[in-house]
Amino acid sequence: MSITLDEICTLIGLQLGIQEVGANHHIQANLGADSVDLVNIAATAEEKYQIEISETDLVSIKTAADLHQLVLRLAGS
Amino acid sequence: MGSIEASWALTGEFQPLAVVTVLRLCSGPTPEQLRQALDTLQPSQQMLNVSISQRGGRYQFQPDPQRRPIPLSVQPWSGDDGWQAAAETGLNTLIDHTVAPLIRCTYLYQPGIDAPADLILVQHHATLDAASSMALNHQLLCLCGGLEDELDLTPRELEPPLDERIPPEFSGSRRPGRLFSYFRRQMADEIRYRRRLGGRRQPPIYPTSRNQVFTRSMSLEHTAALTRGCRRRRLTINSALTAAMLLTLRRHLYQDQPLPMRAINFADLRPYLRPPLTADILGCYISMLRYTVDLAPTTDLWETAELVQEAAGAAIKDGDKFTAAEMSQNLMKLVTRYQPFRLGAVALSFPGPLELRPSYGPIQLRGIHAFISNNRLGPEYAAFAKILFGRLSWDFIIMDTDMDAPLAEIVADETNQILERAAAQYA
Repeated sequence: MSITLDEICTLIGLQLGIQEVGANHHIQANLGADSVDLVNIAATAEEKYQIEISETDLVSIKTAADLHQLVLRLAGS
Repeated sequence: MGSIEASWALTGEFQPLAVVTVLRLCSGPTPEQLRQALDTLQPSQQMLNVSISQRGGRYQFQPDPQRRPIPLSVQPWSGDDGWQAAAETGLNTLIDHTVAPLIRCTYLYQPGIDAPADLILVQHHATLDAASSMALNHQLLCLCGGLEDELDLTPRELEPPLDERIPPEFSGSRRPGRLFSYFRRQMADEIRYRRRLGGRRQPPIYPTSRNQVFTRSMSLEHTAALTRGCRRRRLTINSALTAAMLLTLRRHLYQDQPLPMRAINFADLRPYLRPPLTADILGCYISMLRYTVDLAPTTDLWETAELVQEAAGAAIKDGDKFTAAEMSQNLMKLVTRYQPFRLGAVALSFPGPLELRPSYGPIQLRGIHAFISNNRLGPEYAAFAKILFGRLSWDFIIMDTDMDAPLAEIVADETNQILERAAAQYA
C-alpha cells in the first residue's frame, strides 16, 4: 500500500476544516487542534489504513510528517 | 506571575496547595548522589529558587539572592506503603510561600543493589503543574543516574507569564468581547445548573478536612482495550476516566439520582501559546475547565463519556481555555474570601502517557504517583491519572470529611472496575 504525505495532509485538513496543511505545520500550535481533534485524526487514520495507534504514539504526533512516518511504520509499507 | 499561578498563590494562603510526586525506585541513588543532583539542578531552573511576594496587590515570583538549597530529609525505607504518610503530610501542610525554595524533598532510602526506595517531592502548585513536574522528575532522575550529558543545564530565567503568551486572536482588542461571551456562557450554565439541581443535596463544606490518598492501576491488556474502545468511539481517554469518576461518585454519595454534576479538567496550554512552550520550562501553564454534565438515571460509561466530551469540548473552544485561565484568580478569590462553594463534584488531571523511562543508569523506576492537594472547597473526588509504560494508573485524593477510608476504597475499586468492564468489549 502506498501512502503519501499529501494524503495525510488532506486527512488532517478534512478533520480540522483547514485547506492548507503543510508537512511540518504543528497540528496543535499552528493548526489549533485540541485533544478531541487529535483523537479524530488518529481514529480516521486507523480506519483508513487498518492500523492501531497507541496512546503513546498519539502524543508523539506533532506534525503531518510525524503521522505519515507513524502510519508507514504501522502499516508496514 | 501568570493568572493561574497567582490563583494558586492566593489559594495557598488559605489552605495547603502542593503538588506531590512519589518516585518509586529500585537501586536508588545514595543520599549523597541525590544531594548532588538537587544542587546541580537547582541553578538551572530559576523556579527552584524563588519565593512569592506581593507588590501593589499582585503576586510575583521573587528570586532568592541567598540561593538556599532544596531541603532534603533522608529517612529509612520502612515498607512498600511508607511513602503514603510522607505524601499525605506534604498534601496537608501549608507551604510558607514567602520563603524560597518552594520545593522540598523526602527520601525513603535503604542501601543495596535492587533495594526499593521512594523519593517524594513536594512543591507549591504556583511554581509548576503536572507536565512541568514530570519534566522535573525526568531531569532529576537523569542527574541521579549519571546521565547529565542528556540535559541542557544552562541557567534558565523565569519565562514571561501565561497571560503575555495568549495568541493575538484571543487577546488585545478582542479581549473584551471574549470576556463578555465567556461570562454569558458561565452565567447561563450556573442558572441551568441550579435550576436542574433543585433542592437536592449539595456537599457541605468542612473546615477541618484532610487529604487522603489511594492508588489503583489497570492491567496492560485493559489499558490497551480501553484505548481501543475510546478510539473507536472517538472519545478521549480523559472523557472516559472523568465519566467513570462521575458515575461512581453519583452512586455512592448521591444515591444514583439523575443530577447535573460539575466536573473539572485541566488543559495544558503550552502548545497553544505564542511562542509555544515545552514542559521543561517550569511553571503553571494550564487552564482549569469547569463544566456541567447532566446524568440521566440510566446513563452508562460510554454515554456519560460522550456527555463529558461534549461539555468539556465546549469549554475549550472559542478561546475559553485562555479566558478560564485569566479568570481563575477571580474565581479563587470569590470562593476563598467571599462566597465559599464547592468548585465541583469530581476533578481529573490526565496528562496522558508520561515520557519517563524504566531505567536511568543503574536506577530503575518502578512507578510514579502524583497528587495535588484538594481542599475544603474542592471536589469530593479528585484524581491524577496517567499511563506509564503502557499501563493506566490512578492516584486518587479524597477529603476525610467527605468519605471515610473504607468507602473511598470501594469508590476507587468501582471506578476502575467500571472502566475495565467497558474496556472488555474491546479486548
